[in-house]
Amino acid sequence: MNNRVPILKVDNFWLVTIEETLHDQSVIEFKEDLLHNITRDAGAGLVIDISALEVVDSFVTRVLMEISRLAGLLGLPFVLTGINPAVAITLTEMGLDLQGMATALNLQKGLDMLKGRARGEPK
Amino acid sequence: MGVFGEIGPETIINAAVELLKKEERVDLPLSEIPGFTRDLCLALAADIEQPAFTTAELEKEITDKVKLLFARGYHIETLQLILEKILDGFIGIIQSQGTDLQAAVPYISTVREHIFSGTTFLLKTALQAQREVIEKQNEALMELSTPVIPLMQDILLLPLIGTIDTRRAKEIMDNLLEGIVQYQAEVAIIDISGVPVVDTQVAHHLIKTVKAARLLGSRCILVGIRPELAQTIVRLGIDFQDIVTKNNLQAGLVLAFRWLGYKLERVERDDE
Repeated sequence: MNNRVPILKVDNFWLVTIEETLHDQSVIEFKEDLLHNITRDAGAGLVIDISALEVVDSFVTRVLMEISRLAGLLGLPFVLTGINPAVAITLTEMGLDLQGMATALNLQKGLDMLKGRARGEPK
Repeated sequence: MGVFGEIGPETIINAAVELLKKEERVDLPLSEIPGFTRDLCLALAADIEQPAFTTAELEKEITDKVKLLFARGYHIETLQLILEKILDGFIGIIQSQGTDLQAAVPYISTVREHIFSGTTFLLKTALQAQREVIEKQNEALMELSTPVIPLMQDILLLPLIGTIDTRRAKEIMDNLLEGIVQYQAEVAIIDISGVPVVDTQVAHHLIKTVKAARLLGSRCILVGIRPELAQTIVRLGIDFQDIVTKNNLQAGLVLAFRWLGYKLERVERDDE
């Protein structure tokens, strides 16, 4: 089963869209892939869109938080976009409010946010 | 042989209707009385061998009728009165026929028992009908109570009015998040100036709602905290640290405008 998550680069921004619920193993592979890519060529920012996900488990959340911190270490602005209302409710109920992680409603707004930050505007 | 013995139900119905016509307490229109009395009377008559008050069909029919009457604003007392008069009519007929009253006593008590169980049944139906009405109203209230208003591009307004309990708080959270996604709004202004009491529970829910909205990528502004509310919040030691608050809706709007880069300006009108 090959469900690698595509990691794209557009206009110097890394774009990732997670299309389906990932196994723990593929989540780890995805993280390795992504790290490999962004350390090689940092770019101006990273957007991960999870609007297709109906369910986000704690493991995926942890990996996303790791990615957020790692991106921070690399000085790469990171935005998570398209969290579903149901997912948001579950995450807050679990006490995982993704403190310090930038979020946006959709991919466009996420990109706009990164572009604004690249121009040096405050959030 | 029915409950009423040799006497046909029709006779009793007529007697009861006659008695009811003399009553002043009846608020039922006169045209409806015979029909309803007949229903109740037949229900009683149909029932002699059965432990339950009526047969199923009649029961259903009467339930429907009773609900209809309640919907039109009639009272349980009226229906009870009809039952009473059926009993009175029955006794009256027995008396007028000059039958040996002693011999009729078992009959009368059977009928009375049925009338009692009939009253209980009516009461149950009435309560059921009322409960249904209350439930419907609750639903309507729920729908009305948490409107999410798309104020303008990127700004949602959520005016909260009335007491917030856990169920409503959940509703509020769901509605707000759905609204944010539907309108892709970047700022949500929550106005709690119409909320009389904020306890720890409500505050907790508000905080959770704001955090969930933040996860979606939308920022919340909490406006309309009244002085009493502010005091309660401080006294309870609730931490509103991460939540942006403003004293009123105008201030909240101004802040939202600043965040979104909007500017409100009075323009000279050309047509003057």
